[in-house]
Amino acid sequence: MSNSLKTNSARLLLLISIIFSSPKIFIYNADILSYINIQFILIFALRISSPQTNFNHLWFLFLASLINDVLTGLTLGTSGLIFLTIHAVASFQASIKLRSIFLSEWFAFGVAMIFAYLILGIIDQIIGFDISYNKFLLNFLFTILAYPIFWYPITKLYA
Amino acid sequence: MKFASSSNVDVKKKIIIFFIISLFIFIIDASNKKYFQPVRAVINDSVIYSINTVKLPFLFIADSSKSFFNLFQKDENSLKLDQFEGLKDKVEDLENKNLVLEKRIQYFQDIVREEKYNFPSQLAKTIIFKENIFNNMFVVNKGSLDGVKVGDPVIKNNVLVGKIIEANFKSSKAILLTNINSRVPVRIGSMKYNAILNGHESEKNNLKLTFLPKEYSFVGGEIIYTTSIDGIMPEGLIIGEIKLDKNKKFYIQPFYEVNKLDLVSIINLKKN
Repeated sequence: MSNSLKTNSARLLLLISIIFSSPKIFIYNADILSYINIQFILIFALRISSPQTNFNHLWFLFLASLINDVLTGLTLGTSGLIFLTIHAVASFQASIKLRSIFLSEWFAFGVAMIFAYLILGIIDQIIGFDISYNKFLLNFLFTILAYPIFWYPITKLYA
Repeated sequence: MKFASSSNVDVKKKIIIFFIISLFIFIIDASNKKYFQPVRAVINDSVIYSINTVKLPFLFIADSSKSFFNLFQKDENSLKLDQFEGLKDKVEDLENKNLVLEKRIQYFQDIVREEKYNFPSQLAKTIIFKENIFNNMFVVNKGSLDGVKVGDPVIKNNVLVGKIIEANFKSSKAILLTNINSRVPVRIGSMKYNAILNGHESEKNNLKLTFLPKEYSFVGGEIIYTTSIDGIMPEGLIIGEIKLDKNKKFYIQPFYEVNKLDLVSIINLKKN
Protein backbone atom coordinates (compact mmCIF):
# COMPACT_ATOMS: atom_id res chain seq x y z
CA MET A 1 0.00 0.00 0.00
CA SER A 2 1.40 3.41 -0.93
CA ASN A 3 2.00 6.01 1.78
CA SER A 4 -0.72 8.40 0.62
CA LEU A 5 -3.23 5.57 0.42
CA LYS A 6 -2.22 4.50 3.92
CA THR A 7 -2.70 7.96 5.44
CA ASN A 8 -5.95 8.66 3.59
CA SER A 9 -7.47 5.29 4.42
CA ALA A 10 -6.38 5.69 8.07
CA ARG A 11 -8.22 9.02 8.24
CA LEU A 12 -11.27 7.53 6.56
CA LEU A 13 -11.31 4.57 8.95
CA LEU A 14 -11.23 6.86 11.97
CA LEU A 15 -13.98 9.09 10.57
CA ILE A 16 -16.20 6.12 9.74
CA SER A 17 -15.70 4.72 13.25
CA ILE A 18 -16.83 8.06 14.70
CA ILE A 19 -19.81 8.60 12.40
CA PHE A 20 -21.10 5.06 12.26
CA SER A 21 -20.38 3.97 15.82
CA SER A 22 -23.99 3.26 16.63
CA PRO A 23 -24.79 -0.11 15.03
CA LYS A 24 -26.04 -2.50 17.63
CA ILE A 25 -24.43 -5.91 17.96
CA PHE A 26 -25.96 -7.82 20.83
CA ILE A 27 -24.20 -10.70 22.55
CA TYR A 28 -26.09 -12.19 25.50
CA ASN A 29 -28.43 -9.16 25.51
CA ALA A 30 -25.52 -6.73 25.88
CA ASP A 31 -24.71 -4.23 23.17
CA ILE A 32 -21.11 -5.24 22.58
CA LEU A 33 -20.10 -2.11 20.66
CA SER A 34 -21.03 0.09 23.60
CA TYR A 35 -18.28 -1.77 25.51
CA ILE A 36 -15.52 -1.37 22.93
CA ASN A 37 -13.98 1.95 22.05
CA ILE A 38 -12.99 1.37 18.43
CA GLN A 39 -11.62 4.91 17.96
CA PHE A 40 -9.04 4.41 20.74
CA ILE A 41 -7.86 1.16 19.15
CA LEU A 42 -7.68 2.68 15.67
CA ILE A 43 -5.70 5.76 16.74
CA PHE A 44 -3.18 3.65 18.64
CA ALA A 45 -2.86 0.74 16.21
CA LEU A 46 -2.69 2.91 13.07
CA ARG A 47 -0.07 5.21 14.54
CA ILE A 48 2.07 2.36 15.81
CA SER A 49 1.81 0.19 12.67
CA SER A 50 2.48 3.03 10.31
CA PRO A 51 4.43 5.91 11.95
CA GLN A 52 3.84 8.17 8.95
CA THR A 53 0.13 8.14 9.89
CA ASN A 54 0.14 11.49 11.65
CA PHE A 55 -3.49 12.31 10.80
CA ASN A 56 -2.60 15.34 8.68
CA HIS A 57 -0.19 16.82 11.24
CA LEU A 58 -2.80 16.11 13.94
CA TRP A 59 -5.28 18.60 12.44
CA PHE A 60 -7.47 15.75 11.32
CA LEU A 61 -7.32 14.06 14.73
CA PHE A 62 -8.32 17.32 16.38
CA LEU A 63 -11.28 17.88 14.03
CA ALA A 64 -12.35 14.24 14.41
CA SER A 65 -12.27 14.70 18.19
CA LEU A 66 -14.58 17.73 17.93
CA ILE A 67 -17.01 15.72 15.77
CA ASN A 68 -16.89 12.92 18.34
CA ASP A 69 -17.64 15.38 21.16
CA VAL A 70 -20.68 16.73 19.34
CA LEU A 71 -22.00 13.28 18.42
CA THR A 72 -21.51 11.75 21.85
CA GLY A 73 -22.71 14.81 23.76
CA LEU A 74 -19.43 15.39 25.57
CA THR A 75 -18.02 18.78 26.53
CA LEU A 76 -16.03 20.14 23.56
CA GLY A 77 -12.34 19.33 23.89
CA THR A 78 -12.83 16.13 25.92
CA SER A 79 -12.19 13.74 23.02
CA GLY A 80 -9.29 15.95 21.89
CA LEU A 81 -7.52 15.48 25.21
CA ILE A 82 -8.11 11.72 25.11
CA PHE A 83 -7.26 11.13 21.44
CA LEU A 84 -4.05 13.18 21.75
CA THR A 85 -3.02 11.28 24.90
CA ILE A 86 -3.45 7.97 23.09
CA HIS A 87 -1.61 9.34 20.06
CA ALA A 88 1.23 10.58 22.28
CA VAL A 89 1.72 7.17 23.93
CA ALA A 90 1.56 5.47 20.51
CA SER A 91 4.12 7.93 19.09
CA PHE A 92 6.42 7.26 22.02
CA GLN A 93 6.05 3.49 21.61
CA ALA A 94 6.59 3.76 17.83
CA SER A 95 9.78 5.77 18.37
CA ILE A 96 11.38 3.31 20.81
CA LYS A 97 10.50 0.00 19.18
CA LEU A 98 13.09 -1.74 17.04
CA ARG A 99 10.74 -4.33 15.67
CA SER A 100 7.09 -5.09 16.12
CA ILE A 101 6.60 -7.00 19.36
CA PHE A 102 2.92 -7.50 19.89
CA LEU A 103 3.03 -7.90 23.67
CA SER A 104 4.94 -4.67 24.26
CA GLU A 105 2.50 -2.82 21.99
CA TRP A 106 -0.45 -4.32 23.81
CA PHE A 107 1.05 -3.30 27.14
CA ALA A 108 1.64 0.24 25.83
CA PHE A 109 -1.98 0.33 24.66
CA GLY A 110 -3.03 -0.60 28.20
CA VAL A 111 -0.94 2.30 29.54
CA ALA A 112 -2.50 4.66 26.98
CA MET A 113 -5.95 3.50 28.04
CA ILE A 114 -5.15 4.09 31.71
CA PHE A 115 -4.11 7.68 30.91
CA ALA A 116 -7.17 8.19 28.69
CA TYR A 117 -9.61 6.90 31.31
CA LEU A 118 -7.89 8.88 34.05
CA ILE A 119 -8.47 12.05 32.00
CA LEU A 120 -12.09 11.03 31.42
CA GLY A 121 -12.58 10.37 35.13
CA ILE A 122 -11.08 13.75 36.08
CA ILE A 123 -13.22 15.53 33.46
CA ASP A 124 -16.37 13.84 34.77
CA GLN A 125 -15.51 14.96 38.29
CA ILE A 126 -14.91 18.55 37.10
CA ILE A 127 -18.18 18.93 35.19
CA GLY A 128 -20.20 16.91 37.73
CA PHE A 129 -21.46 14.44 35.16
CA ASP A 130 -22.69 11.10 36.55
CA ILE A 131 -21.11 8.10 34.87
CA SER A 132 -21.60 4.41 35.37
CA TYR A 133 -18.29 3.19 36.80
CA ASN A 134 -19.21 -0.44 36.10
CA LYS A 135 -19.73 0.30 32.40
CA PHE A 136 -16.59 2.41 32.44
CA LEU A 137 -14.53 -0.47 33.81
CA LEU A 138 -16.10 -2.96 31.39
CA ASN A 139 -15.43 -0.60 28.49
CA PHE A 140 -11.80 -0.30 29.57
CA LEU A 141 -11.33 -4.09 29.84
CA PHE A 142 -13.18 -4.98 26.64
CA THR A 143 -11.29 -2.35 24.64
CA ILE A 144 -7.96 -3.78 25.82
CA LEU A 145 -9.16 -7.34 25.09
CA ALA A 146 -10.40 -6.32 21.63
CA TYR A 147 -7.06 -4.77 20.67
CA PRO A 148 -5.50 -7.97 19.17
CA ILE A 149 -8.55 -8.49 16.93
CA PHE A 150 -8.00 -5.08 15.31
CA TRP A 151 -4.20 -5.17 15.59
CA TYR A 152 -3.77 -8.14 13.27
CA PRO A 153 -5.51 -6.76 10.11
CA ILE A 154 -4.14 -3.24 10.72
CA THR A 155 -0.56 -4.54 11.01
CA LYS A 156 -1.00 -6.64 7.87
CA LEU A 157 -2.34 -3.68 5.88
CA TYR A 158 -0.35 -0.76 7.25
CA ALA A 159 3.02 -2.08 8.44
CA MET B 1 8.46 11.96 26.74
CA LYS B 2 11.18 11.19 24.23
CA PHE B 3 10.67 10.81 20.47
CA ALA B 4 13.83 9.36 18.89
CA SER B 5 13.22 9.74 15.15
CA SER B 6 13.88 13.20 13.65
CA SER B 7 10.55 13.16 11.78
CA ASN B 8 8.82 12.53 15.07
CA VAL B 9 10.36 15.47 16.91
CA ASP B 10 7.79 17.73 15.29
CA VAL B 11 4.98 15.44 16.46
CA LYS B 12 5.82 16.15 20.09
CA LYS B 13 5.38 19.90 19.58
CA LYS B 14 2.12 19.43 17.70
CA ILE B 15 0.73 17.09 20.35
CA ILE B 16 1.46 19.71 23.01
CA ILE B 17 -0.06 22.53 20.91
CA PHE B 18 -3.27 20.62 20.15
CA PHE B 19 -3.46 19.39 23.74
CA ILE B 20 -3.39 23.02 24.93
CA ILE B 21 -6.02 24.02 22.32
CA SER B 22 -8.29 21.13 23.40
CA LEU B 23 -7.83 22.05 27.06
CA PHE B 24 -8.65 25.68 26.29
CA ILE B 25 -11.83 24.72 24.40
CA PHE B 26 -12.80 22.35 27.20
CA ILE B 27 -12.37 25.04 29.89
CA ILE B 28 -14.45 27.57 27.92
CA ASP B 29 -17.20 25.05 27.16
CA ALA B 30 -17.28 23.60 30.69
CA SER B 31 -17.50 27.07 32.24
CA ASN B 32 -20.70 27.55 30.19
CA LYS B 33 -19.92 31.15 29.31
CA LYS B 34 -22.80 32.98 27.63
CA TYR B 35 -20.67 34.25 24.74
CA PHE B 36 -19.57 30.71 23.87
CA GLN B 37 -23.11 29.26 23.73
CA PRO B 38 -23.93 30.59 20.21
CA VAL B 39 -20.50 29.37 19.01
CA ARG B 40 -21.20 25.93 20.43
CA ALA B 41 -24.70 25.94 18.91
CA VAL B 42 -23.23 26.75 15.47
CA ILE B 43 -20.54 24.02 15.84
CA ASN B 44 -23.19 21.49 16.95
CA ASP B 45 -25.63 22.38 14.18
CA SER B 46 -23.00 22.29 11.45
CA VAL B 47 -21.49 18.97 12.62
CA ILE B 48 -24.88 17.33 13.14
CA TYR B 49 -26.30 18.36 9.75
CA SER B 50 -23.06 17.61 7.86
CA ILE B 51 -22.82 14.15 9.42
CA ASN B 52 -26.46 13.55 8.66
CA THR B 53 -25.89 14.51 5.02
CA VAL B 54 -22.85 12.21 4.81
CA LYS B 55 -24.90 9.39 6.32
CA LEU B 56 -27.89 9.84 3.98
CA PRO B 57 -26.56 7.94 0.91
CA PHE B 58 -25.43 5.03 3.12
CA LEU B 59 -28.80 4.89 4.88
CA PHE B 60 -30.52 5.08 1.48
CA ILE B 61 -28.43 2.15 0.19
CA ALA B 62 -29.12 0.16 3.36
CA ASP B 63 -32.86 0.86 3.14
CA SER B 64 -33.00 0.11 -0.61
CA SER B 65 -31.16 -3.18 -0.22
CA LYS B 66 -33.51 -4.10 2.61
CA SER B 67 -36.59 -3.35 0.49
CA PHE B 68 -35.01 -5.14 -2.50
CA PHE B 69 -34.53 -8.33 -0.49
CA ASN B 70 -37.95 -7.93 1.12
CA LEU B 71 -39.46 -7.86 -2.39
CA PHE B 72 -38.38 -11.46 -2.89
CA GLN B 73 -39.19 -12.58 0.60
CA LYS B 74 -42.55 -10.88 1.02
CA ASP B 75 -45.42 -13.31 1.04
CA GLU B 76 -48.94 -13.07 2.37
CA ASN B 77 -47.85 -13.85 5.89
CA SER B 78 -45.29 -11.07 6.01
CA LEU B 79 -47.86 -8.60 4.65
CA LYS B 80 -50.22 -9.68 7.39
CA LEU B 81 -47.38 -9.30 9.86
CA ASP B 82 -46.82 -5.71 8.68
CA GLN B 83 -50.51 -4.94 9.14
CA PHE B 84 -50.42 -6.60 12.53
CA GLU B 85 -47.41 -4.48 13.59
CA GLY B 86 -49.22 -1.32 12.44
CA LEU B 87 -52.32 -2.27 14.38
CA LYS B 88 -50.21 -3.11 17.43
CA ASP B 89 -48.73 0.38 17.31
CA LYS B 90 -52.18 1.92 17.01
CA VAL B 91 -53.51 -0.09 19.95
CA GLU B 92 -50.48 0.90 22.03
CA ASP B 93 -51.03 4.57 21.15
CA LEU B 94 -54.74 4.39 22.04
CA GLU B 95 -54.02 2.57 25.29
CA ASN B 96 -51.52 5.25 26.26
CA LYS B 97 -53.93 8.04 25.33
CA ASN B 98 -56.57 6.35 27.46
CA LEU B 99 -54.17 6.13 30.39
CA VAL B 100 -53.28 9.82 30.04
CA LEU B 101 -56.97 10.78 29.97
CA GLU B 102 -57.68 8.63 33.01
CA LYS B 103 -54.84 10.32 34.88
CA ARG B 104 -56.08 13.76 33.83
CA ILE B 105 -59.63 13.01 34.97
CA GLN B 106 -58.26 11.78 38.30
CA TYR B 107 -56.12 14.87 38.54
CA PHE B 108 -59.03 17.23 37.88
CA GLN B 109 -61.18 15.35 40.38
CA ASP B 110 -58.52 15.59 43.06
CA ILE B 111 -57.12 19.05 42.69
CA VAL B 112 -58.61 22.40 41.89
CA ARG B 113 -55.81 24.10 40.03
CA GLU B 114 -55.23 27.77 40.59
CA GLU B 115 -52.69 27.99 37.82
CA LYS B 116 -53.29 26.85 34.29
CA TYR B 117 -50.60 25.44 32.13
CA ASN B 118 -50.72 25.18 28.39
CA PHE B 119 -48.42 22.68 26.73
CA PRO B 120 -48.28 22.99 22.98
CA SER B 121 -46.09 20.39 21.34
CA GLN B 122 -44.29 20.05 18.04
CA LEU B 123 -43.22 17.03 16.04
CA ALA B 124 -39.48 16.44 15.64
CA LYS B 125 -37.42 13.90 13.76
CA THR B 126 -34.60 12.02 15.47
CA ILE B 127 -31.52 12.54 13.33
CA ILE B 128 -28.86 10.98 15.55
CA PHE B 129 -29.21 8.33 18.22
CA LYS B 130 -26.26 7.46 20.46
CA GLU B 131 -26.11 4.89 23.17
CA ASN B 132 -22.69 4.41 24.73
CA ILE B 133 -20.96 4.45 28.11
CA PHE B 134 -21.07 8.23 28.29
CA ASN B 135 -24.58 8.94 27.22
CA ASN B 136 -27.96 7.63 26.12
CA MET B 137 -28.85 10.56 23.97
CA PHE B 138 -30.50 11.53 20.74
CA VAL B 139 -30.53 14.61 18.55
CA VAL B 140 -33.74 16.01 17.05
CA ASN B 141 -34.15 18.40 14.13
CA LYS B 142 -35.81 21.22 16.10
CA GLY B 143 -33.87 23.88 17.97
CA SER B 144 -34.15 27.18 19.80
CA LEU B 145 -35.33 28.90 16.59
CA ASP B 146 -38.35 26.57 16.69
CA GLY B 147 -39.02 27.44 20.33
CA VAL B 148 -37.29 24.45 21.92
CA LYS B 149 -35.76 25.16 25.32
CA VAL B 150 -33.52 23.25 27.72
CA GLY B 151 -35.68 21.10 30.01
CA ASP B 152 -38.56 20.62 27.55
CA PRO B 153 -40.02 17.10 27.83
CA VAL B 154 -39.85 14.75 24.84
CA ILE B 155 -42.76 12.36 24.34
CA LYS B 156 -43.68 9.50 22.00
CA ASN B 157 -47.26 8.23 21.77
CA ASN B 158 -48.09 10.29 24.87
CA VAL B 159 -45.35 8.59 26.86
CA LEU B 160 -42.47 10.57 28.33
CA VAL B 161 -39.15 9.38 26.85
CA GLY B 162 -36.69 12.07 27.93
CA LYS B 163 -35.93 15.76 28.04
CA ILE B 164 -33.94 18.37 26.13
CA ILE B 165 -30.52 19.09 27.64
CA GLU B 166 -29.10 21.35 24.99
CA ALA B 167 -30.87 23.51 22.43
CA ASN B 168 -28.86 24.59 19.39
CA PHE B 169 -30.35 26.84 16.71
CA LYS B 170 -31.76 24.12 14.44
CA SER B 171 -31.21 20.95 16.47
CA SER B 172 -31.45 19.86 20.09
CA LYS B 173 -29.91 17.19 22.23
CA ALA B 174 -32.11 15.11 24.47
CA ILE B 175 -31.35 12.46 27.05
CA LEU B 176 -33.45 9.36 27.56
CA LEU B 177 -35.05 8.65 30.92
CA THR B 178 -32.62 5.75 31.22
CA ASN B 179 -29.63 8.12 31.10
CA ILE B 180 -27.80 8.01 34.41
CA ASN B 181 -28.05 11.83 34.60
CA SER B 182 -31.84 11.90 34.15
CA ARG B 183 -34.03 12.91 37.14
CA VAL B 184 -37.80 13.24 36.82
CA PRO B 185 -40.31 13.94 39.63
CA VAL B 186 -43.02 11.28 39.49
CA ARG B 187 -46.17 10.07 41.21
CA ILE B 188 -46.97 6.37 41.41
CA GLY B 189 -50.24 4.45 41.33
CA SER B 190 -53.47 5.08 43.18
CA MET B 191 -51.56 5.65 46.43
CA LYS B 192 -49.91 8.65 44.73
CA TYR B 193 -46.46 8.07 46.17
CA ASN B 194 -44.10 10.87 45.23
CA ALA B 195 -40.59 9.92 44.11
CA ILE B 196 -37.77 10.81 41.76
CA LEU B 197 -37.21 8.60 38.72
CA ASN B 198 -33.52 8.17 37.88
CA GLY B 199 -31.73 6.50 35.02
CA HIS B 200 -29.69 3.50 36.07
CA GLU B 201 -26.59 1.81 34.72
CA SER B 202 -28.05 -1.70 34.67
CA GLU B 203 -28.81 -3.20 31.24
CA LYS B 204 -32.05 -4.78 32.44
CA ASN B 205 -33.63 -2.52 35.04
CA ASN B 206 -32.38 0.80 33.77
CA LEU B 207 -34.84 2.94 35.72
CA LYS B 208 -34.96 3.29 39.49
CA LEU B 209 -36.99 5.22 42.05
CA THR B 210 -35.42 7.32 44.78
CA PHE B 211 -36.97 9.33 47.65
CA LEU B 212 -39.89 6.90 47.90
CA PRO B 213 -41.85 7.18 51.19
CA LYS B 214 -40.69 4.65 53.79
CA GLU B 215 -44.07 2.90 54.01
CA TYR B 216 -44.42 2.19 50.28
CA SER B 217 -45.72 -1.13 48.99
CA PHE B 218 -46.35 -2.21 45.42
CA VAL B 219 -48.58 -4.98 44.11
CA GLY B 220 -47.57 -4.57 40.48
CA GLY B 221 -49.33 -2.70 37.70
CA GLU B 222 -49.10 0.75 39.33
CA ILE B 223 -48.76 3.44 36.68
CA ILE B 224 -45.91 5.93 36.98
CA TYR B 225 -46.60 9.42 35.73
CA THR B 226 -44.98 12.82 35.99
CA THR B 227 -45.85 15.33 38.64
CA SER B 228 -45.54 19.06 38.25
CA ILE B 229 -43.09 20.57 40.72
CA ASP B 230 -42.38 24.22 39.91
CA GLY B 231 -43.43 23.51 36.33
CA ILE B 232 -40.35 21.31 35.67
CA MET B 233 -42.60 18.71 34.07
CA PRO B 234 -46.22 18.81 33.00
CA GLU B 235 -48.59 16.91 35.27
CA GLY B 236 -49.78 13.45 34.23
CA LEU B 237 -47.42 12.33 31.48
CA ILE B 238 -47.21 8.58 31.75
CA ILE B 239 -43.82 6.89 31.91
CA GLY B 240 -44.28 3.22 32.67
CA GLU B 241 -45.54 0.80 35.24
CA ILE B 242 -44.34 -1.08 38.29
CA LYS B 243 -43.79 -4.78 37.76
CA LEU B 244 -42.85 -7.46 40.26
CA ASP B 245 -40.26 -10.14 39.52
CA LYS B 246 -40.20 -13.73 40.84
CA ASN B 247 -38.73 -12.58 44.17
CA LYS B 248 -41.50 -9.97 44.52
CA LYS B 249 -38.96 -7.22 43.98
CA PHE B 250 -40.29 -4.33 41.95
CA TYR B 251 -38.82 -2.94 38.77
CA ILE B 252 -39.97 -0.29 36.31
CA GLN B 253 -41.13 -1.14 32.83
CA PRO B 254 -41.10 1.98 30.63
CA PHE B 255 -43.90 2.24 28.07
CA TYR B 256 -41.68 3.48 25.24
CA GLU B 257 -39.53 1.38 22.94
CA VAL B 258 -36.08 2.73 22.13
CA ASN B 259 -36.15 1.48 18.54
CA LYS B 260 -39.34 3.40 17.77
CA LEU B 261 -38.08 6.89 18.56
CA ASP B 262 -37.62 8.04 14.96
CA LEU B 263 -40.36 10.64 15.39
CA VAL B 264 -41.01 12.29 18.74
CA SER B 265 -42.91 15.29 20.08
CA ILE B 266 -41.38 18.09 22.11
CA ILE B 267 -43.62 19.79 24.64
CA ASN B 268 -42.97 23.52 24.87
CA LEU B 269 -43.19 24.29 28.56
CA LYS B 270 -44.87 27.68 28.73
CA LYS B 271 -46.59 29.09 31.77
CA ASN B 272 -49.73 31.07 30.92
